[in-house]
Amino acid sequence: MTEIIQSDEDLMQHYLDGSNDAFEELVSRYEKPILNFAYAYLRNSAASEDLVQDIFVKLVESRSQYNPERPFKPWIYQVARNRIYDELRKKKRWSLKWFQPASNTDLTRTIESHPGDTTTSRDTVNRSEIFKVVQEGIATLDDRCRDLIVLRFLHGISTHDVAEILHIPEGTVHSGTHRALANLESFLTKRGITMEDFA
Amino acid sequence: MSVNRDKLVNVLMEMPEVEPSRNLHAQIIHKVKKMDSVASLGVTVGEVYIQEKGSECWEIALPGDALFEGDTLSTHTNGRTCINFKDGTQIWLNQNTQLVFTASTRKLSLPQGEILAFVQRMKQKGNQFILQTPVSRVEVLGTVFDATVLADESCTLSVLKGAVRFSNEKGSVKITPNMQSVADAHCAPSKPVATNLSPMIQWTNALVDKSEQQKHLNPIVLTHPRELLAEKSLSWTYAILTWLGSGFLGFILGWIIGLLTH
Repeated sequence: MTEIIQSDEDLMQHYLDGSNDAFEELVSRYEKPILNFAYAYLRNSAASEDLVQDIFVKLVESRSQYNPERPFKPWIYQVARNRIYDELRKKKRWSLKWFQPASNTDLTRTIESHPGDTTTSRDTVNRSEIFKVVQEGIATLDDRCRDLIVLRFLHGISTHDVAEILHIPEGTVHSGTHRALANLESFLTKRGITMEDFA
Repeated sequence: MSVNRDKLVNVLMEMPEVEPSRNLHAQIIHKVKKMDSVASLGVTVGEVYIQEKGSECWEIALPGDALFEGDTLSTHTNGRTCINFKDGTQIWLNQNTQLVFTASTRKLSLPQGEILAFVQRMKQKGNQFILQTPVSRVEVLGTVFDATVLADESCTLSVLKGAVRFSNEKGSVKITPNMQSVADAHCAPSKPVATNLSPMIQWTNALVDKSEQQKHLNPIVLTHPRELLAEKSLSWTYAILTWLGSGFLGFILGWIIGLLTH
């Protein structure tokens, strides 16, 4: 007997009708993607897990605003993104300046002044180090570029859904994605990462 | 040499993922469930069970468990517990008691047993606390009372603080502090009579003691209800002393004024 896989939208509707099992299924489907979404911004597992709990609480609090005619995925990412940015603003307000992640310029300056100190030289670079540098690169992007890279490539969300999550036209998603990739590419080049390293 | 764009996209899509910790799912569900709860279980002594709405089975209830509309809480012999509502209302259950969360946060049903309720006064009108027993109904706005339902379904109501409207189909009475009334299926609630409540609330000692022992775990430390009785007698003593004091001062003042005017 084949099990019928319900859509996210159906599950959300069942939850709104009072089914807790439907909500548990939604949590099972989205806890990992939303955790990774939060992690892409916070880069701290424990803080991301706490935030994921808050995101689901927020989702339940705003369930009356959910439109069953609209797809569920962009909505949960929208709720998550808002909550993540609230958290980032809170952190920015309270943390001391020297605990902030280094800005793009700061990192570039560091590399230029100490080229030999970087662990990303062509001879020593390995895959996990590339991922680490890419992650650093994403963190240095401006908010819009970072959103586009994370949503489009790390989470594989369609251009249409990204446009809905960020409330921007699809054309802007296209052009913004190109700009974001170019910025990231430029960051990596400055860090000594070349195409051979990606083989 | 610049990074190849397609390869960069591939790397982005292959970025390693963070795995959720084993209990993240449970933590999310617990947090979300708590949002819809009407109350949570506080200090517990002995055996206490909970029957979820629509379920046939009884599960062991533990401190911190969320309680929902339609749930039934049951204490066995030597089992006692305290329930904390979101508005600050507290209900303590004596042994062999069943309490049903019927409709909303402030509407409960007591089919059997004894409870001591510390009802928080609500600002909105029409939001009174209602306790339904098999043969009577208790309506309060903000008070502390003890209700006991016996096997014959009669209900004994004693008030420690505030005032309570105690009624059934045959009639209704208002009960004030240190007064007690009994209602059964055949007649209206009896005329309230003065009573000594201290021996009646002895059963709460076990909960207060446990709360003291667990104060490092549970931020809500229970205050013994006998302090309400002490507060009451203290307030009477204070009133009498104030009255006597003001009388004495009046006498002195009158004497001085008398001396000055003559």
